[in-house]
Parts: sequence; structure tokens; C-alpha cells
Amino acid sequence: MHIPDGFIRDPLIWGGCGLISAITLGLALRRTREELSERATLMPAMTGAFLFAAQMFNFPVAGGTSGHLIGSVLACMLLGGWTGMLVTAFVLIVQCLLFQDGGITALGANILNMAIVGGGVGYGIYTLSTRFVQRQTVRLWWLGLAAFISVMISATLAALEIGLSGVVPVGTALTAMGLVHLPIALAEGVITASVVSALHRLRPELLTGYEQRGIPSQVWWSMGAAIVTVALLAVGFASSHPDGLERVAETLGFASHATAPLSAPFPDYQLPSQPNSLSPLTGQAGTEHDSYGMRALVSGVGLVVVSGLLYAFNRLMQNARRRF
Amino acid sequence: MILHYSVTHLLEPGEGPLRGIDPRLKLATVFWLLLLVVTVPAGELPPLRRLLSALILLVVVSRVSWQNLVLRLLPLLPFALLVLFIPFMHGGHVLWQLPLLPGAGIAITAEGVSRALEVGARMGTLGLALAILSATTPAPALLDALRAFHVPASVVQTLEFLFRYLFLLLEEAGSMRRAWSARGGDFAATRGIQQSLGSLLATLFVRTYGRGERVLMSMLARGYDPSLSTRTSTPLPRQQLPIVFLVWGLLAVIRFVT
Repeated sequence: MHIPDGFIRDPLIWGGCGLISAITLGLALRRTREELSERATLMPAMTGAFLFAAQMFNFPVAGGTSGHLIGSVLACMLLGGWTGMLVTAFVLIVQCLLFQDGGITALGANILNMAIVGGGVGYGIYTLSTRFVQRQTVRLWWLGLAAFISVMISATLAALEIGLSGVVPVGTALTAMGLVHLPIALAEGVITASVVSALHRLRPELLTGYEQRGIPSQVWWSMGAAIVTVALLAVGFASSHPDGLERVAETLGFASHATAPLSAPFPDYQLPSQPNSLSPLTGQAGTEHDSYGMRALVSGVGLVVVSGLLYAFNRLMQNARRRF
Repeated sequence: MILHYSVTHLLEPGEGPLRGIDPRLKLATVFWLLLLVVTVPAGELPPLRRLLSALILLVVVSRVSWQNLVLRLLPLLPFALLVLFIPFMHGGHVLWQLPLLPGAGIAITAEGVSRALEVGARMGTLGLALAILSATTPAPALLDALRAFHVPASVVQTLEFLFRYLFLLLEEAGSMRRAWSARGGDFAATRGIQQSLGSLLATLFVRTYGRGERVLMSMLARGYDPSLSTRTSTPLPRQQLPIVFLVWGLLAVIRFVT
């Protein structure tokens, strides 16, 4: 889910996401200033390093590929809301700057998707349970559900950002990201709940965010950031697809009342009698192609092929390591 | 995550002409390149192609080992493969129809090809720039350079600590994983994985926390004060400035002059 450079093409989208992330991280730094200075930044950093190391443990997911923990909800459980969000963001910054995992233009979007919205909303869902649910088992199931939803929300946001940038069609991006992240989200839910369950038995005092009563301020901020992002994406989409009003007019039935004051030179952007140009590959006249079903099928086939290749590569690396 | 404790030594920055350049200047150059790339309007390919070619030339000049560079660019592999499918995902002028299923309408379109080339070029240029930067700069120096860009001290300090303990924990996680495998644990088996992985990660966190507390206590016992910076800012090396400005100018020429 670490979006690289280029996949969010629209500067409005990556710039907007970057701005929202910067403001939120600034606020998080203010809120955690005392905590960071008391603990001399070491414990949050160690937790960040732990999240990084935890991501090394790949687990099998469907289709022969493997996934790993994202850990944004787990970070909030270990450090509390604001600090957990900050630490997840720090892990993403290190991954981008030092290990090229995630692009530099997409860094704001990645932080927003995984640390701010994913972690914040997931943690918010968990905190709904703390006031009403006393039984540990039920609370852990609820936590698993929260971690599952957090990954799915992050994947949805990432798909919207990529799709509305015009890199792949929005529907295709949403379907593909949803399908790929479904098993990863399930595993995230199960593993987050089992880590917290084990820690609750071993060292319950280390779970700073587990006993949080009521919804913390960070969650409201995360939800606000999610709403602003979706609104920003909607504005971007509307500006790149100005026929939205036309569609609304058609639906409401007043399109036929609209009259053009002057006859447009190129109605609906079509040249009056533009012949199909010749294809540079075949030399034959090209045809217009716009089949949503086929595009979705191709993206599905593409994902299966890419998963297969990555699986083969992973096996190759494992064999090489064993020999080494 | 491709990073594995047994390959981390391959990621160490090697020697080469870019190694000696001040990290602040290198980071500023990456930001300059970023500015040049993002100002290329959507759908305009030639400037992106020229900038990517310049970066590839820089790889040759910088004498970064290909092994190092390939390892660093591995996280981009899934996305690079996905770029190959973008030409099929857009409607528009058909360039080539899939012959196996002629009626199905699976086709490469001109719009799709142009979109894929653009995404690939943007991803390649900036990915390569970051890879060259981290392959020619020690990570602590790179993180320290962030101070020059007014990143808050507590953030830089946390990032430095994070990096400092990352490899230690990777080693520890690796040894725990080996020990677990030696006792019959199997990560390929889905059944029961959640419990074993859960306990393993919980133990790793308890060890991490214990180590953190010990280190913090020993730091405080030696008079550590987080508000005091241990580093002093050095002036920018003047003899490197003309070279860096020349590179900036060249990049701008490559971007704008057709």
C-alpha cells in the first residue's frame, strides 16, 4: 500500500494530502511534546523500530503471495492515539527516505492513508468498545475488526487517490485494491488482536492505548482528515469531469429545458468529422475502445500475473538464502 | 517488505564521487529534481524521458553498485509490473487488440500507453533519485541533514533512534524466527499462525521495551538531556557549491529546453 511516485499524478491530490498530513503531524507533535521530551524520544523510536521489524514477518495470503503487518492500530494500542499515529508516520518516512518504500511525492498520501486515517479511525472503532464491553475476548474480537477496517479504509483511500489521478479507472482501482487487501486486512485483524492478547497476559502495563475510555481527540481529528480528503478528491474529480452537472440534469429531468445560447463549435468536445487515425503499430484504422468490464478483467488478470511473479521471485530469494 | 537482516550489509553506501558531497546539498538537489518533475504537465512525456535519462547517466557517474541499486529499487517492483497493465485499462484509440480473444475487446490503447509511460517515468526518475541519494549517503548523515531544512529536533532525534535500533531489532527478530523454525514452526502454514506470530511479536515487543528502558536509564545516568543537541551545524562546503549549482542548472536545462 506504499504508493510510489507517479501513481498519484494530480498535484492537487498529492499536495492536498501532504498538507493535511503536515498539519496533523504538527498538531500531533504539539500534543505529544511533553511525552516525547519525558521519554527522551527513545521509547517511541524503539516502538517504531519494533513495527519495522514486525513487518519482516511475512505471512501467507491468498493467491500464493505473502503480506505483512501494517501496524497502525497496534501502534495506537502500544503508545496511545497521537503518539501511535506519529510513530507510524515516522516509520513511513524512514521507509521512504532510506529504503525507497513509497514515493516522496506520495509520502503525504501514504502517511494520511495509513497513519492518520487508518490508525485513527481504526483506533476510534476500538475505543467505542472500551466503555461498554468488559469481557476481554469480546474486546479483542472488536479490536481485530477495528484493525481489519483500518486496512480496508487505507486501501480505499489509496485506490481513490490513484484512481482519481487518472492512472487507472476509479472502479478498477477500488476493485483491485479491495480484493488484494481483503486477506491482508483479515490477517492484520487477527495478528493485531493476538499480539495485544499476548501482551495483555505478559505485560498489560505496556498497552498504553488499550484501556482508553471514550473516544480520544485524535480520533475526531483523523475522521475530520478523512472527510476533508474525500471532499478534496470529490472536488478534483468534479473539476476533471465537468459533465457531472449534465448527468444530474439528465437524472432530474431538466436537461431538455437547457438551451445553448450559441451553437458550440465542437459540441461535447468531438470534432465534427474526424476520421479514425491510423494505428502506428498495425497501420490500420484504429477504433474507439471503452469497455469497463474488459478493463476490470485485465486488471484482475494483471494482479494475478503480478502476484504469481512476486511469489516466484520470493521463492527464488528464499532458495538463494538457504543455499547461502 | 523486502528488507531482510541478511542483506542489510549490501545496502551500505559505497565509495564514489557523490559520497563526499554534503548531504544537505544532495537532499536539496533531490528536492530541486522533485520540483522539476512535478511541474511537468500531465501527458507531456519528453521532459520526463530526458530527466530519467539524466538520472541513469548519474548512476553510471556515481559508481553506485548495481547490486545496491537493484536491492533499493525492489520495493518498486510490484508497481513496475502493474505499470505494464495500465495500457489495457484505458478507453480510447485502439493500437493493438489481443488476438486470443478477438471478440472480448481487450486492447492496448494510445491513451493507456501514454499514461503508463508517464507513470513509469515519474516513478523511475524520483525512485532512482532517492535510491542514489541513500546509496551514496550514510543514513545518520542523511537524517541529520533534515535539521538544515528545519524539521523539528524531536522528529529528527526520533528518526535517528529509530534507525539506530532498527537493525538491532531486525537481528533479534531474525534470530527469534530462526529459533522458532528450528522448533518446528512454519510460516507457510496458515493454521495457528496467528497465535504463534502474535506471541512471537509480543515477546519481541517486551524485549524491545526492556532494551529501551535499559538504554534510556544508562543515557540519563550519563547526563543525557534531550533538549540539548549533541550536534553542531557546520557551514556548507564552499568548494562544492559551484558543482551543485551547475547540476541544478543542467537539470533545469534538461527539463525545459527541447
